[in-house]
Amino acid sequence: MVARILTIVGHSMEPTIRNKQRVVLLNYPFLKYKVGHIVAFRYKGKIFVKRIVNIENGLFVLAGDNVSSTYDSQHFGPLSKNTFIGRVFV
Amino acid sequence: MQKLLQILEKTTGSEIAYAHCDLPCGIYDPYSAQLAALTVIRMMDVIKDFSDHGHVDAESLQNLARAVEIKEDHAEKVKHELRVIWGDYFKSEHFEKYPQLHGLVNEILKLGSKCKQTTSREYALQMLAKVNEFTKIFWETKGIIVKEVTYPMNPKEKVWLPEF
Repeated sequence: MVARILTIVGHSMEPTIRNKQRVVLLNYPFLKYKVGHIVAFRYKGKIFVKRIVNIENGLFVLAGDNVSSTYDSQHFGPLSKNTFIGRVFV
Repeated sequence: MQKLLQILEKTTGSEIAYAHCDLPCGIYDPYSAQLAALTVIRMMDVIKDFSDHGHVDAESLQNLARAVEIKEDHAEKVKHELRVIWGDYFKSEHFEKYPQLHGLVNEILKLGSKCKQTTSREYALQMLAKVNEFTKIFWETKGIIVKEVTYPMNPKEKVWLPEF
C-alpha cells in the first residue's frame, strides 16, 4: 500500500477541498474506483485531483466539485484508469 | 486532520496536485469578458440612479451596496478573462501579427481597475470598447468574422459577436 500527502493547488474541488489543503492519497493493489470517489491522476506530467461522476464503457468521467471554476471531462474527455495514481481522502 | 497532515508532511514531504482549470481544454471565448463589461456599465447606471434620487432608506442602501459589489466583481472578471486568453491562448505568431495586443490588454487591465475605483461610466464604456477590439482580434485569429450588434438589454451598448 502506498500513502502520500498531496497539497492541493486550485479551487475546482471547493468546497470539499480548499486551495492549499493537504489530503491523503492512497493506492494499493486491486483498488476499486467508483462514482463519487475523488481520484488523483496524471495528465501532461502533472497530478490533478477530480471526482468521478460517471463511468462509461470502462472510462471515467471526472469533474470538479466547484462547477463555476473547473475544466474537466467535458473538455478533455473521459480518462482511463491507467492515468489514476490513487484515491484521495480528505 | 490538517494539523496532523502538516506534521506528517515535515517528515514525509508532499507533492503538489492541481485542482484548477489549466488543463489544455482549448476552449476560449472573450464573450464572458464582454458580458462582464456590459454588467459594469449597467451597475454604473444603477449606482448613479441611487445617487440622483437620493435614496437613503435601508433597502435602497442595501441594493446600492449590492450594485457596487457586482460592479467590482465584474470589473475583476473582465481582467481575469482577458489575462487567461492573453496568457494561455495567444501565441508568439499572434503577437507578431497584432503588435498592439500587449498594449491593448494592458489598457483593459488599467480600465478595469479604474472601473473598480470610480463610478465613471466613461471608463466603463472605454473598457467595453477595448474588450470589443480584443474580441475582434481573437476571432480573427480563428478566421471567424465578427459583426457589431446592439446588446438588446440595458445598457444596450454595442458589442462585437462572432458569426458562427
